[in-house]
Amino acid sequence: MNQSQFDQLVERICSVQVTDSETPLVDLGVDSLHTIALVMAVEEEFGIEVDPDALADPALASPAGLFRYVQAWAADAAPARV
Amino acid sequence: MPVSDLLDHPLTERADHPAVIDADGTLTYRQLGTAVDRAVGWLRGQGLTAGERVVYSGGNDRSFLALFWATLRIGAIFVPVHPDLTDHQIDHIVADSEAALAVCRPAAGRRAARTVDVEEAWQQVLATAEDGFRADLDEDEVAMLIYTSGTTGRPKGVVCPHRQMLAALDAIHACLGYDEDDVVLCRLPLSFDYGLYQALMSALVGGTLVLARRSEDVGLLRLIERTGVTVVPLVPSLAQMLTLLQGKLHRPTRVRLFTNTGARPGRAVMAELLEVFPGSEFASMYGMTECKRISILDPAEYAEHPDSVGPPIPGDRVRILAADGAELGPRETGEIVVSGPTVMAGYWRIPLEAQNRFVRRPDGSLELHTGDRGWLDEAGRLYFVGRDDDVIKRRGMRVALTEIEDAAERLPGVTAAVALRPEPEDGPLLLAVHGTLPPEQVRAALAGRLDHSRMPDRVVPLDTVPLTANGKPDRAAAKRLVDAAAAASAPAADHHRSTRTTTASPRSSHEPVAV
Repeated sequence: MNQSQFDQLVERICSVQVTDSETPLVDLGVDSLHTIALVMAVEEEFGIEVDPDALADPALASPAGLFRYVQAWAADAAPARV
Repeated sequence: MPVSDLLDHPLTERADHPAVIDADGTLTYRQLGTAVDRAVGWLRGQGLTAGERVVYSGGNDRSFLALFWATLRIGAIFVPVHPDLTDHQIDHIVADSEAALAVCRPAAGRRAARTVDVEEAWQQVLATAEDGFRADLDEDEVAMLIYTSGTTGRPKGVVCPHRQMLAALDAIHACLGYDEDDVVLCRLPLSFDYGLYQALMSALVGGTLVLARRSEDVGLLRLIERTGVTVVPLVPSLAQMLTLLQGKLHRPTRVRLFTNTGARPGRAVMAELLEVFPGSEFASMYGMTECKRISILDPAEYAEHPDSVGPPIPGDRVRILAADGAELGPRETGEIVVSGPTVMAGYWRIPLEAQNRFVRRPDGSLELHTGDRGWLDEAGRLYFVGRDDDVIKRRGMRVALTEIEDAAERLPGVTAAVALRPEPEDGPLLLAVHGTLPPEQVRAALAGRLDHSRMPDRVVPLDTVPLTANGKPDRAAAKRLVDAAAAASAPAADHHRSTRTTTASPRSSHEPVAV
């Protein structure tokens, strides 16, 4: 999955338009309920656990930030799977 | 006694018990008491005296509580304002209350005698020596002004004397029985009375208050588990979030009681919530800022009377009046009118004759005409039907939009429903629904449940439920979303899609500033 596909996931779950991946979710118009739904969808999709604190960091609370978080998680987990 | 004396009991008996948990950690009652004493010193250093108004526009944290308790202790009047309000909205409140001190954004507080930024004020408080001063107050002195929107005009300040606030606290306590081991989650803004009273109830019993912020919602369940939350006051959006989180995570919690007032979570959501939090109960309540609480349903009666908001709280009396002022009997719907010790002292600086809500009774006390519609059953339980401004005339019938929403929200697969006020009044009635049940099936299911005059002309999907800052579904914003979606589906009107992001902002200037 690339950023553009990830943005589509955000758009589908949160019913918003991602005009710029770096725009914070809240500025895209995503409310708390949809943020929770998004985190759950991401956890399901990638088989990871999102630390709730991660989203308190403004740099992570955008589609791009969340996608970077997912990728970092995948990178960390990769050796363990070998 | 003044409301601020509520802190005395926990300060002497339970000084080392956690009083407040916020984003910065835990404060014991002793530490909270110290912070309040410093805030008293700071306020007095600002030249503040009894009866003067302090506008405070800060978030949910210890600073709010310290300045709240301190303001009351010196006999001044606390005026809480939601920090998400625009500078223009706050400016109106600052000017209308003739604030001596505004702790808010400098641009919003210009018309106060003195303005200090929220963070700056807190730093100064922390650097001030403790001051044990207490004003000698009569209970009829004013403790707070809570600004609230009516159907017309600008927000008005509800005058809340110490006496009425204490009466409300005693009555709520008698019904809900918060105790000293309770840990109360306050995810509602402290600037709304439903939120602020959580702090007061908690102090009354010496319990613990957990202040949650919107930005922490994803970790809400973890917060509930970690801090041992036992009581959760709900707005519909919070009920949905907790259902979603706990439905997936199934964490062990100590939650024993959910409460709700104002907009009610859908029946299906509530049933699910109680199921995923085993051992929890639900107290359905009704009230408005003008008299705090009006009724509370005993949780034990919820299963049998799920639509009731309970009998009037001890001391209060509810009458149901027809349009001509005649008192109606059981099961007849009319305006809910309340009298008793929790009815507040009217609106700030508005002559009583100009206040259509408060009416002077022969014994001198005030009676509150709520503008809400409802009925009482034979046992005296109240049923809330809708607000007058939610009522439309359709095909010759008075129809409460909430009745239609309620019917839809009982359908499995409907998470939320918003009935849009038809314009003109005899125009098509649209019902916007959010959930997994397709709109055509919602309409089919409603056909058997609603009469002709209440049946929506069209059911349209709603991707997101716009909420006001206090978590209530926002009819006006929902209408803009539906209109924007309709415009966007027209071939040449793609640019209208951008409307969606602007209407998703938490409030417009038309929305209420308090519950």
